[in-house]
Amino acid sequence: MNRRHAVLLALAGMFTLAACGDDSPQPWDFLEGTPTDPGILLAVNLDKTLFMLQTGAPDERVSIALGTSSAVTPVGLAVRGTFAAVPLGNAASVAYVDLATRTVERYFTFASGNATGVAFVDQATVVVCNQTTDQCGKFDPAQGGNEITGLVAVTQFPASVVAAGGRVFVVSSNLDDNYMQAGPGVVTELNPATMEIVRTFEVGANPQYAAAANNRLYVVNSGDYGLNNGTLSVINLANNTVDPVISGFGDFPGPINIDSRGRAYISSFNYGTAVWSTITTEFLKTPAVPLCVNSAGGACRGAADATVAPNGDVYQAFFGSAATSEAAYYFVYDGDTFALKDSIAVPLGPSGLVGATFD
Amino acid sequence: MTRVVRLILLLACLIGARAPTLAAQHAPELRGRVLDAATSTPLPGAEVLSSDGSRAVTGSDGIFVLRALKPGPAQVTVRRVGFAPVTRDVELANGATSSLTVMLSAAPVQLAELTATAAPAAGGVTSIDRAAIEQSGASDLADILQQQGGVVVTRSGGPGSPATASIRGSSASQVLVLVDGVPQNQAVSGSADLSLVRLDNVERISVVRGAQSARYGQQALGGAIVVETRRPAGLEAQADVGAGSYGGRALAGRVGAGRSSAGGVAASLSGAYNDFAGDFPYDIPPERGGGTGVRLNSAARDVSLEGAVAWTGATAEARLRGEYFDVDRGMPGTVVQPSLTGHQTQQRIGVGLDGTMKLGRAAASVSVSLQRQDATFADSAPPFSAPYDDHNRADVFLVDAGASRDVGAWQLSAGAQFQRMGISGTALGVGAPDATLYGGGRIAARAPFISGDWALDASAALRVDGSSLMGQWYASPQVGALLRHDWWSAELRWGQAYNPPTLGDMYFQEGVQVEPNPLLAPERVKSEWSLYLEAREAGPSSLNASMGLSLFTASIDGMILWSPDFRYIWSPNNFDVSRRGGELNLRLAPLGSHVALAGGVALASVTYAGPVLSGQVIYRPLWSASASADASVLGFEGGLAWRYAGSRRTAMGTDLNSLPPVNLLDFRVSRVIPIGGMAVRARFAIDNLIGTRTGMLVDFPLPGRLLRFDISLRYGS
Repeated sequence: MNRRHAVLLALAGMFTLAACGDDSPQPWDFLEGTPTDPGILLAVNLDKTLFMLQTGAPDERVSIALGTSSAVTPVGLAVRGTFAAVPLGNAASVAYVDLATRTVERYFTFASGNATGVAFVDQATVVVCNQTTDQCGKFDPAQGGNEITGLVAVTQFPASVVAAGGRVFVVSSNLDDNYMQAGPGVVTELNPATMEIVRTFEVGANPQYAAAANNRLYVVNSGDYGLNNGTLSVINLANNTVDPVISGFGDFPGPINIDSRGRAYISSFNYGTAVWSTITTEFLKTPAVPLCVNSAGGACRGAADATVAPNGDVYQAFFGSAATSEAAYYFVYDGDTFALKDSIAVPLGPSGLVGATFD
Repeated sequence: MTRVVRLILLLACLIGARAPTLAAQHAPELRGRVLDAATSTPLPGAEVLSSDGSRAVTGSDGIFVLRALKPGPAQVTVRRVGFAPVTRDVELANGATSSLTVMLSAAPVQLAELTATAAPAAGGVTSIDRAAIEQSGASDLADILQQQGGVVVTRSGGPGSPATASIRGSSASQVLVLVDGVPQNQAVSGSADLSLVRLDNVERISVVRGAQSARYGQQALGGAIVVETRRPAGLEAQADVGAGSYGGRALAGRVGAGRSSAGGVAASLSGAYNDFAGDFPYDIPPERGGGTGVRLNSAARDVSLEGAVAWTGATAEARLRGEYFDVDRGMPGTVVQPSLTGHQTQQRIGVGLDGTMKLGRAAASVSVSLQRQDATFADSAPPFSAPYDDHNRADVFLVDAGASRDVGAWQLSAGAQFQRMGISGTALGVGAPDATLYGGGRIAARAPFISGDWALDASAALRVDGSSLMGQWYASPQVGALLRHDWWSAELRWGQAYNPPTLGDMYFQEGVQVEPNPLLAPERVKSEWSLYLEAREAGPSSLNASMGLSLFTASIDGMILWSPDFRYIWSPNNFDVSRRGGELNLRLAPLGSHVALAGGVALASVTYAGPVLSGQVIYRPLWSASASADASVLGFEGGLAWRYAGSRRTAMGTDLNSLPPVNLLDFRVSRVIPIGGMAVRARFAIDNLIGTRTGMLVDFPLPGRLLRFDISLRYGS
């Protein structure tokens, strides 16, 4: 090989490497996050989209349209692998979203009603509830038809679904047709294989959200709007007992997320986010002195949700308000000190926060 | 504001002192007769065109009437097949009826068969006359308005389903719809359901664009639609029967007797019945599995009855009119939340008396009306929420009086309006008033300056409106200058407008995650500039072409839009927005040809001015357009009409999830066969020829292609 051939071979090799190493971004690259922070924060937005943001590069964002129908009112989010299930509220259906290709792969539907809570039990079982018909059902993302099957009646006004350790729990607010409390809230355990009721638990007033940790289910009882009577019910899943209701969770608490350190982040539109340790059963941030960023008027901005991202920071969603000219934000707090680190403007109306990595 | 009111009262008194009688303002009218110059016999079928775009055709007695004209100097062109056209200058004044006699001389030029049209006119006004209404085959106000440039009609389903209008990107409640001066905007929602105005008995429709509170009062924020019903016209009889797709049936009749000339009394009685069975196929959205379904519970049926008695004197006329309207229709809900049991009924019964009088250079008019609106909305098994059965009743008493008088070159007018609306029922919640009172006063002045071929018309108007709902008075001024020369004209206008919140926005029954807002402020157009350019080319061998271009820019304080607050509770709120855009309308009807072409395109940018939201307000298409082609061949008359609405946002502040553009094409063909003293017209029409099912509203699909056939038998006018 003479020198000229060697140079030509070297150039050919460089071109080949350059071609193989084409760095044009692919849709799935987004889910890898940044080299230093692989975290992705997911939410559903008022504009009928599933919204994703790289926590390592907040300007890197993706919005996936969930449908044009006016009935499409996404009310939550569950993620498994690179797929998400989004209950579409009044559309009485669930969008099964491929996050990698950024497309709604399928819709699974109730005959009518209002699809609310959703949870992945395993790869082949997604449980979803219907707030209008007071039923829950399931679907297999790989099934032939689009129907949600295995319908089972639960206590009225099911609001959310939690899957933990292969068990499925449905949180029912127990509200009547006039949306008044008909009685104490009820958590119904379902057998996801047969969709039969295993047992029920009586909890506090008007429960709407729950999260599982430490072999316990933590149920937020929202109480009455404006009466500052939110409580927490704790169900011991080991012996299927309900502990006495814990009070002091402020005015109309809602979404709850629990991090790996056992800290429960409970958010309220009326005060912000309270932080309560499931280990010590004490508040780290109370509803009176919550995690919040003050608005221009000095009052706490309420929170639509809060969760801990893979990078350890706490992300709090402020819903925003077109009526009062307040933009929506993700407020970022240090996971240890709760000091405010960043404010990220996002599209109006985020809720249902989920932090995830997609390695 | 008190000083303004005093000023108005003072001016009204001054005018009244000079005018023997004080009465209501009405727009100028022109009446006349067209005769054969050789024989002095009346010429029927002659077309009379005024320079503001109004149009009439002479009857068998050669008589024509042009109503709702624009005050000021105008040119009137009269033409007829086989005669040379004649153009005359006339002066038109508010509250006055001018007269004109035109003699036409035979000419060798063979003109084309005349075609009725809705012509663009000065000041962004479009007038649609009776001939154009009949030619269109439209059955309700929505059908015919959707073909007008700059007017976006949103219908929620098939024939008979609710429909509203938006002008210049306005809300439906910002378009004032008047029928013989009586507002048709509903008591609770503030919007006018155009499907409740049938066209069987309509003489003329005028579409007035832009901020028009100075001329028409509150609610005319985006524009006004002025409907005049047919006046009794002597001996006449008419019977129509039709049938169409999906069980469509129509029946209408009209009889009249008496004398409509000076000193005579004439009466008419008309009625109509329309039925649509619904149950049409539609496209199921992907989130519901895709494919097609059947739109159940979408039937609509309506019955209307109208009667009128008119007296015509030498210098005065009066009319007593009564009407009854009843609609009964399903509320099928959205396609993803369909209801098989939702149902609504609405009844309207009303009586009105109006009169005008002319004395010398002064004129006066007065009108009084009483109307009762009953509505029920019920669903025993709604797809979500609890069953409901709401009833609502509104009793509306309205009186309007005005006067006008020429003082030298000045034309002055003033008037006042009072309305009481009693409200009862279950639709409204805590705090809703049992009745609302409304009062308004207006003054206007204009001064024409004519020099050779040039004419300048300066005008100013001021109106104050107040209601018990708001507790204060609001002034809406308007000034303008119109320059006219030869074949073109230009008008620059500035104005303000006012619209109070609706009772529904402030006091509707609270529901889950929706709340009324009793703290709403009125919507105000604080400044709107409009520029109108017109060009018209007409003559015995011309293209007979006209073009109208309007440009506008306005800032609106406190436009009422629905949005969620920080708790995700939806409520109406005030938003500052700006609206900018323009409308271009063209018409070409070459004389000697049997074809008439018309088209228009409109741009309406309605954007948020606040810091949080940006871009177009939801459900306002940035672009809309329409075009039509009419032809007359071998005794058949037919046409194609196309309309387009661009994509519409469905979520605030984002283009995501926008609705795709809508294209609709209608076809019709008809033939009139004279039989003795009568005429029989047979018509076949295909609405939505290309079968578009995408609706203007998400989840409210259209029925696709609709076939209609109708036969009309008529005698007399």
